[in-house]
Parts: sequence; structure tokens; C-alpha cells
Amino acid sequence: MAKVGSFAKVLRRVKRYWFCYAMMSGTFALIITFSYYPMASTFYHGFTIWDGFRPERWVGMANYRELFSSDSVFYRSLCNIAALATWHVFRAASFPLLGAALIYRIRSERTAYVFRLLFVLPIVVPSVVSILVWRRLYDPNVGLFNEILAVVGLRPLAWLNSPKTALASLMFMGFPWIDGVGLLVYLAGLLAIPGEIIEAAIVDGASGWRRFWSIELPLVVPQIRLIVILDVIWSLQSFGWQLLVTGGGPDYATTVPAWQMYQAAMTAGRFGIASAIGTLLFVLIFALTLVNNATIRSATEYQAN
Amino acid sequence: MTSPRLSETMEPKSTIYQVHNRKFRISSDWTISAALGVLGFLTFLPLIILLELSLKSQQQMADAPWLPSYPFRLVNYAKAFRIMGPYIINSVVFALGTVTISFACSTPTAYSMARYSFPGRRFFYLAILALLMIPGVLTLITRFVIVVNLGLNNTNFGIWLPLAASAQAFQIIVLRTSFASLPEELFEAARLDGASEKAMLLNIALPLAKPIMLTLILLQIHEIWNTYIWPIMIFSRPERYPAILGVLSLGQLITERDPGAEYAGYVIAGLPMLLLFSLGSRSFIRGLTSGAVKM
Repeated sequence: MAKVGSFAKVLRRVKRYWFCYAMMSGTFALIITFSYYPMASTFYHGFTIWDGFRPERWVGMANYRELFSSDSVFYRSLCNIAALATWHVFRAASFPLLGAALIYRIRSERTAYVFRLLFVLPIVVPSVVSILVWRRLYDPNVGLFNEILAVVGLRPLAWLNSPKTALASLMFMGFPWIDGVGLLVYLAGLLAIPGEIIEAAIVDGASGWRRFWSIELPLVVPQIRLIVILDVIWSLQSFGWQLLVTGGGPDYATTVPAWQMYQAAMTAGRFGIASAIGTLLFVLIFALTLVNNATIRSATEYQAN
Repeated sequence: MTSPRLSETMEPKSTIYQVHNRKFRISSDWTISAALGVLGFLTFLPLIILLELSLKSQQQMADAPWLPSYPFRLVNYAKAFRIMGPYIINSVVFALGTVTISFACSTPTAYSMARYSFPGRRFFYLAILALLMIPGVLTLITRFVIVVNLGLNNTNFGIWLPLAASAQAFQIIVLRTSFASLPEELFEAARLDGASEKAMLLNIALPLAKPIMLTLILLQIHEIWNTYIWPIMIFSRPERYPAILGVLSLGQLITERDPGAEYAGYVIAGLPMLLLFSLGSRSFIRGLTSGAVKM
């Protein structure tokens, strides 16, 4: 009886706030159609053979078995993405922090502002344009890098055209790797350090290096974790170079899981195995996202202290 | 967000630093600036090269491939613009439509979640938060199938709706926080004056949320401008491509023996973003650091 009563009460409130559901209808129509439904569809179709449009056939774990069969290119992909992700961990944690720590040490407020703006400015460069410009720099015949090697007296490299150097070339792109967003986040973290702490260190005679290692670095660890996770999640999903320039080659040297997924679906029409790769990437990213959420929480806690 | 804090911490720090430097003679502003200058130069080197290549004729490029040479060939830009023009219009249409649809959906959702305690509010908000756990790569392929099945490939809606869907989570979370932080007395006073619920949204909440919305819009336009994998998937004709894919068709200029114009086209593809950034660099920076010390 009481249950029926509370149910009627809820119903009355639903009626009273009917306009709230109307206001949310657009959002939920969008996210159900373009986020939740595709997610379920990917999970399900990973277990099927599917051309995307005709009815699928259930095959259980066959797609996953194929990916992990002994002669599979997928192992190569996993090795490549592991190398890329490791590099991204190192790079996101170090170079933008170096830039931020240097800017933090500048006394003139205006100079600090100018440098901050300078390092953020490259975000206006479209991603495709930077890929194409770097391809030109890597060009074995007319590229700048081989020209520099010739001047120094070294033998030219094939860069993107050789299986030995292709992946390293992708990693080298963006030198000196001072990412604007990372720099801004680190700088915000540094500026949030209470002035008294720095003051005390200086009174105690701590040198610039000592201050960096013993005070600043430990206090921006939340920001480092945030940027590293975001960067790694991004690197696991991106396949711009492969799509626009390398095609995953030469000799699978630059192939990555996301690119294999794209090719499986869009070139080979094998949407089932593409869904399986998508699901595997999701599992990987999901694990990292959980770490990321813990990171955001600790960053907030730090702020509250 | 950082600028007031910047001045707060800069002031006491600078006096300390002076004492410190007199004692130990460690790095001054000049040496730090020099180090940053070198790093900045290296960061910008590809762009500097791009700029000077874009101002060269084929002959100049053969004579001195990497150093600037005179006279600057500005006609490269006119040539490239003739090719890039339609693609830029495509991009602008994509951006305007996506931003409009996104906010038409996210603003009312965020407002109702912030202001009314309707049954199921918690559940619906969790459904929004959970979207943050869905990476784009998971839904890319099946989204494509849905868009084709709905007949949206080769249409603007094929860009607008999926990109608007992707933007919902972030926009709703930020806007909800912003609406929820408005003092309740504001709405009480309006209610006493006889304002309707709708009037309160339009005349109180929206004007006060303007700065945060501007930041969200700038970030979204920046993201749409950089979207290229999705348009490659859903458009079968390259004429429908956005500006950053339009640069791929600039290759035809090389066969016209005008390689400099190709690079001019690269520059043109980025100019609208430069414009956007210079109009709202403060909002941009605030948006990019929003997750830094508080969320």
C-alpha cells in the first residue's frame, strides 16, 4: 500500500516536472543514437562476422582468436603502440614541465605572459597541416633533416620510407615537444604553490635545481598524472599519420591498432573484426580512464589543502 | 583564471628572487628568456619554414630551398585562396551547425539538471557522466554504419549530429556547474516579480553564463576545425571536405609548377583559427587549463 502511495507521489512529481524531460530530450536523442547505441553495437559485433549492412553471423571469439593468432599483424601493432605510448608518457611529463618551470622562474610578469602565449599559439595550426609540413621536413630527397645531416657530414636517412626509422620519425615529430596545453596546466599548478613554501626554501638556501626537484616537482604530480593520462589516451586513438601519409607502412613499421580497425572496416569491409579491435582498445583506455579519474580527484584535493 | 593569481604570487616572489640572486648569482631573467627563446624558436621552426616556402616561386625554391628569398611571391596566396575558398565555407557551415545544435541541446539539459529536482535527475546525470568513459575510437565504426543507415552520409547532418552528440558530456557538465553556482535568491527575487520559469532561463541564467559559454564555443570550434577522419569517412565527394582536408587537393598546384602556392594553402587553412585565437585567447587559455587545478 505504501509502495503504491510513493509510486503515485513520484508520478505526481514527474507530471509536475514534465518540462525537464522535454528539455533533456534533445541531448538524450543525440547521445543514445550516436554514443550509447554504437557502443553496444561495437561490443556485440565484435563476436560476429559483419559487413556493416547485411545481417551479421555470430562466431563467438573467432575474431579475437584471429587477432591473437601467431602470424597476426596485430602483435606488430601492439608493439608499435606500446612504444608510442611509452614515449608519450615520458614526453608529456617532461618537456612541457621544463617550459613551465622556466616560465615560472621569470620575474617580469609581462615576459612570462608573452612566453606563455608563444607556446600556446601553435594550437592554431591544424593537425593535418603539421603532419604535411613534417612530412616535407622528412623528405629523403629535398627535406630539411637530410640537408642538416649532409652539412654535419652524416649519411642521409630514409626517415618515413624505411622500416627502421619510420616509427622513430613519428615520435620525433613536434620537437622540442613543448605542448601548449600541458605547459598551461603545469604552469597553473606551479602558480598554485603557496608562496611561503618557496620563500622558506630560498631562506634555507635551496638552489634553483634543488627547489625544482624537492618542491615544485612533487607539488605538480597531480597535474603530471592528468596530462600524461590524457596524452596517452589520445595517442592510443590517433591514426592521422597512418591515414594521411604512411598507410601503416613501410612493412607495418607504423601500423597501430586504431589504424588496423579503420582499415578492416573501411577498406576490407570487415566490420566484425574492426569492432573486436575497437572493443580491445576500449578495455585498454577504460583502465587508463579509471586512473585518470582518480587523478582528477587528487588534483582537486590538492587545491583544497 | 591564472592572471589574478599570477600577479598575486609574482609580487612577493620577485623581491625574494632579487635577494637570492645577489647572493648566489644564479640565472637571471635574461638567461631564462634566452633558453625559452631557443625552445620557442625550435617549436616555431616548422611554421617559419612553412611561411617562407609559401612566399616562393618554383625557381626560388630550387635555388634556396630553406632560406627566405626576395621578392616575396604574394600571388601564391591568391592562387591558393581560389582553391581553399569553398573548403573554408564547408568548414564554417560545419562549425555553425554543430555549435548551434550542441548548445540547443546541452543548455536546456544542463539548466534543468541544475535547477529542478525532478525524479531520476541523478540517473540522467550519471548517464551524461558515463559518456566520458566512451572513447571516440570505440564508436567510430558503428557510428558510421548508423549514419549511413539513417541516410545522413554526404549531408551536413552527418557532421552536425554526431559531433554535437560528442560535445554533450563536456558542455553539460561545465554548464550545469555554472548554472548551479548561481545564487538561489536571484531566482527567488525574479519569481516574486512574476517572472516565468522560461524568462528566468533566458534573462537570468543565460546572460550570466555567457563567458563560460564563449569558452566552450571556442573550444568546440577549434575541435571541429581539426576533425578530418570523420569527413573522410562520410563524404564520398572531396568537394564536401572541410578546409583542413582541402589542403590535400592543393597538390594540383604542383603540377601547375607552383609549389609555393601549396604551402600558402596550408597557411590559409590555419588562418581562421589564428583569428579565433586572437579574438579570444583569454577564453581559450581558461578553457584549456580548466582541468588543471579545479574541475
